[in-house]
Amino acid sequence: MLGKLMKHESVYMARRFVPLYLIYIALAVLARVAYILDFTDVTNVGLSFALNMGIVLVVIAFFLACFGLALMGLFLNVARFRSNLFTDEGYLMNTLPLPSWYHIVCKLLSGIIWFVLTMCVTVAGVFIAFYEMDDYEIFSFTLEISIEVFRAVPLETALTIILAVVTFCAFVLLCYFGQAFSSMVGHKRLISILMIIGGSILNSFISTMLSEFYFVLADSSSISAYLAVNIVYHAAVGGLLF
Amino acid sequence: MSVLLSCNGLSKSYGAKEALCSLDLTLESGKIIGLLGPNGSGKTTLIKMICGLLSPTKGEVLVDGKKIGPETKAIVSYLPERTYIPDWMKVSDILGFFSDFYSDFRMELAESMLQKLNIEKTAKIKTLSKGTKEKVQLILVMSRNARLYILDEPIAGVDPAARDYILDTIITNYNPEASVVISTHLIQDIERVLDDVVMLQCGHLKIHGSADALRADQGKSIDEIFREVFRC
Repeated sequence: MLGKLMKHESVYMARRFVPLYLIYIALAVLARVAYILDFTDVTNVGLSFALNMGIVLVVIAFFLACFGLALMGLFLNVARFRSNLFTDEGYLMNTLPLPSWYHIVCKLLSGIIWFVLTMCVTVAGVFIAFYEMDDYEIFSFTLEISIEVFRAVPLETALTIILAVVTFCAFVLLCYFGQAFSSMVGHKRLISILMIIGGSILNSFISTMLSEFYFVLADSSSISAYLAVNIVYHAAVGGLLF
Repeated sequence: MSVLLSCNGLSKSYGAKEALCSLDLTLESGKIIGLLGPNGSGKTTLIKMICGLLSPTKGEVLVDGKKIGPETKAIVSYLPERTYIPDWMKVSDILGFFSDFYSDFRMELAESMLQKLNIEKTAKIKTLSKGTKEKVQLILVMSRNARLYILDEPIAGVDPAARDYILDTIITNYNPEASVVISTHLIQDIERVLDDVVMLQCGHLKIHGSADALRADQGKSIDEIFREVFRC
């Protein structure tokens, strides 16, 4: 049943994300073309200004699309949770013969998969736009550093990645919780946003206190143990919200 | 005939407002039951608790002797008053969806009913009129071989010609071992098919009995009895 839910969820998310990916890749191609074009020989001042401004706007649009695509990955997932379970579609979904937690797991897994895919497409777009161009060195340098760090401290790197995934899941579950709670009261969107912001602030505060306790009061300096403690904490928060 | 639905001291409150008050109700299998009452009487609240969309404040509701959960949802076929089919789907998509999740869904029956009502399988839901969407929803619900069918206003949004077809569809396609609960304000249209009648008022059970017995006792139609009992 969970597999069937994932299948139908994937069909819906593909309809939303694939057009966004295509638009983003098109912008990446345009950014590359804009980068290659050289209008320094254009003598007409007005025309030269307009053409160069066009190049600047295309590159800016591409960078905005990079950030926008990443945010859309999270936004669409949370919006889907609300529209699929707390609007009229909920009459269809909440009467299916399966436990309620299947819906949460399905949306969470779908959110992780599409977020990772979105990150991959974002990186692919950067490669398309800047591969072997002047500014590509920044990206290749970042990639080389990342590989070196992983080779030097593999355990800490792996734990950091796990922590990122667990923190992401906890944040998504906080958004789901906010949506679910707000559906019981009025001013749904406002309550939902306030709960997400409030929950994030509280979580950050507790995380900071945890770090304070670990490094100062417990006088420990093991990074991997600290990361493990954080993973357990965020997993507990996620489990509580679930 | 076995007991298919039983409500024991069932209550539901929304804050200070009591939508259902200690309802005791038993419905047997093999019957078509009219769930009637004025606006705000608790019909939809009762329906939602049977379907697992709401939890009771007090008491319990059992379907086929089981508490509400995935097992009861597998044997209850629910048609809500609202349009719940996602607009982005085609008719064939929603047929596939029902086929995936309900093992009792009869695809051939659904397809034949769509054909009779001239609804294309390839049509997108968003291109269909409100009445046609409701017909599609009804076809989906009645194509299941469920134990309990719950239809909330099944004929309100359809044309009079289609109403007769829908009522005939309800009678001819449901499992004789099953029960059908129809909640509607169009009592005149459905009373010919009713075996039993349940009338609610302000969250309480007002009348529960055989439709024929009520008509014989009072010498009036169910519609006339309703108008008299709930006169404003």
